[in-house]
Amino acid sequence: MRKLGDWLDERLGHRALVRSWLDHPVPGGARWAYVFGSVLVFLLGLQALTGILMATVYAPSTQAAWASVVYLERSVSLGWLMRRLHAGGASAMVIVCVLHLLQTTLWGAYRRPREVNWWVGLLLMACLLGFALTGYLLPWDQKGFWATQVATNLAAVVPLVGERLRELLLGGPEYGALTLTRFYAAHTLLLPALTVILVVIHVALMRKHGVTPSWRLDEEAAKKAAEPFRDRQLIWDLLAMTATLAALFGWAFLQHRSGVVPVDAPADPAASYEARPEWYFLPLFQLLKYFPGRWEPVGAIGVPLVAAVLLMGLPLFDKGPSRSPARRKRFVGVVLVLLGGAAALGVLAVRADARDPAYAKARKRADAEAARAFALAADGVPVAGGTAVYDNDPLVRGRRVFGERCAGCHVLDGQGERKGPDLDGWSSRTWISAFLHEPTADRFYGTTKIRGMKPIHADAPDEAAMVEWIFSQGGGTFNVELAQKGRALIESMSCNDCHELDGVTVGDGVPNLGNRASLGWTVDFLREPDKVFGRKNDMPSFAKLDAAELDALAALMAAERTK
Amino acid sequence: MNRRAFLWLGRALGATMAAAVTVPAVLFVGARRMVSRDEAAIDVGAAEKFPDGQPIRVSLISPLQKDAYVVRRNVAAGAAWVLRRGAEVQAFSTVCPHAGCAVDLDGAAFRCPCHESRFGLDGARKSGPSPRGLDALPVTLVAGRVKIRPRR
Repeated sequence: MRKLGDWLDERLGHRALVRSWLDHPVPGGARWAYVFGSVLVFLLGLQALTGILMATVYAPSTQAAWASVVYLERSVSLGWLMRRLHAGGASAMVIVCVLHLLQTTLWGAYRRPREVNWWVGLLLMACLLGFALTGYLLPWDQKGFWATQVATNLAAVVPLVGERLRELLLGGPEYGALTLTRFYAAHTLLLPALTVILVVIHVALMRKHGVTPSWRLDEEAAKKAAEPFRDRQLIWDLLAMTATLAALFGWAFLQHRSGVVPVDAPADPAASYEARPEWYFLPLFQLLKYFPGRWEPVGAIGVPLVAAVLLMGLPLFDKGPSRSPARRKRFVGVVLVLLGGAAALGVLAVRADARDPAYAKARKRADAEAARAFALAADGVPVAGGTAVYDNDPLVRGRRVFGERCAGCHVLDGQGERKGPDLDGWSSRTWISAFLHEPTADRFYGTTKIRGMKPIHADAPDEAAMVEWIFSQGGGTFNVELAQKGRALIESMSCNDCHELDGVTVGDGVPNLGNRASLGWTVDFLREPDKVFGRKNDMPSFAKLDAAELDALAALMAAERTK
Repeated sequence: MNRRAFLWLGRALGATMAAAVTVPAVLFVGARRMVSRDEAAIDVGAAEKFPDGQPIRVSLISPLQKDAYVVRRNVAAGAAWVLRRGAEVQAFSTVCPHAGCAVDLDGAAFRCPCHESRFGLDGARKSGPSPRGLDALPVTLVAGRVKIRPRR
């Protein structure tokens, strides 16, 4: 090992390089305040790793994006962990970035000769926000779709070039396939490349000028008190990184255990959705509320621009002799006011939502939709794309088949024509009871040739028992005792003179009541209705439908039974 | 804290973080993905549809195919040569075992148009570069209907 190291060192000179890093002097000595930069670099690495891993599963297309993210979450081992580390890592980077900004502001680290590094740092912060913005469109879920709409629409209010800018971002006038691919390219290629270049410059300049020592030390004292990076500063940096990582893991596990559905429902341009951005964009979101109508550009572009110019301009104005924050109140104040203002706006945004029952309701609906879509995706997502997942729901499919095949003769949910029985609540207890009262009413078999049955008159308790037995044949929960009583009554009232009750024999045009309205019975009935109604049957056979369609119809009818 | 302790602590922290990140990453990448192709037998029609002793080429349409996060319905899973002899039904993959071309019927033999491999109607290799006979596909007869299990 030693020999291999020597061989490599002779060619690479890596030992001297590593030593120069470990031994580079920290003016004024190690401080906890200096850990933020290192933690940011560490988090950037973690984002890169989790990002690359997720890219091995994620598919950046409007058809597959949502499905692949759900697949990542539920089927790929530890996919949930990677995705949450990535999302939590983004939030952590914003927090640590703000702390880093505060520290460098207090220390006066932007002052001569470090002005350029301050600007590079601000550009890195812009990159970070760019990552955040492009990132949460990628799942192509409701939240990403609608929240990003807001952000890109804001681009359009830039004077003169706004519309062109928006089109450039979207890859066209509307959200579409190119938008997602563009955001993906920006998130995984353009921004990472830019960020790496800027980080290299940022760190190189930090090495060149050294970290900014405490304002209490003058130049000479700082040099005297300098200590090498290795040992104390290195350990503190490592401790801070480990703590950050531990916090991220903890957060990821808690989120996972909380049972919150990790992906919103698939993006649906036709649906309504109350969009809220990620927490770090809430200040901008809140700001817009104060600039309605033609003043919008002021809130969307003006205020953020002024904030950016103020931050950029700090090193040009702060040229006084002292670096003590007490002597630079104006400049430190500007940064504190900007950050404080952002925090206040964020709090206002959260409070406004917390106090708005309409928003709470909309959010609850959206959560329910997300849970339903996530559950349906267990069967995979049809190639048509995210929203096609609802086709996995037998009720949705059943309703569509019903519209195509059955609505010509049957009414359901107010749709269709009445040539045969209405199917609302078909074979539910109320339906059976109403049917017994007047079997030849138009809503039952009055419009067909099946009109041989006479109304049944019985006491309410007896009727309830008979209804219970008939209902029990279709399956589901029922009262066994009551049903047994019902069966005895049915026999005593000679219903079985006409109706078979065993579910096996084909009656002579009179329905066998055994197993009636069970899932299997419904499918068989749809295939061969004349086996149930005999020569009086008017209904065509639907044997030509495939098994999935028949099952969907049976599921649809089963759902009516529970109404 | 002395220097040795610092060195030890630094290494321990570094190793902990490396492990905390690397182990999940390896598990993630090494995960057996749920790639499931539908392997259910595919109905290709009633047995009497196939004339005695005469191979018929049928398409195998899988009613439901799952591939990671995508489900497709009615996907072409391939094709097969089906040969009925009395009550016995055989099926062969149309993919030549040599280089994967589609095998044709040529009179009373199967022939691969790419490299001239020839196979008997029983699928056995007769001549040409193919390393073996045609691949038989599992066939079942259910209530008079021929069902074939697609295989790659």
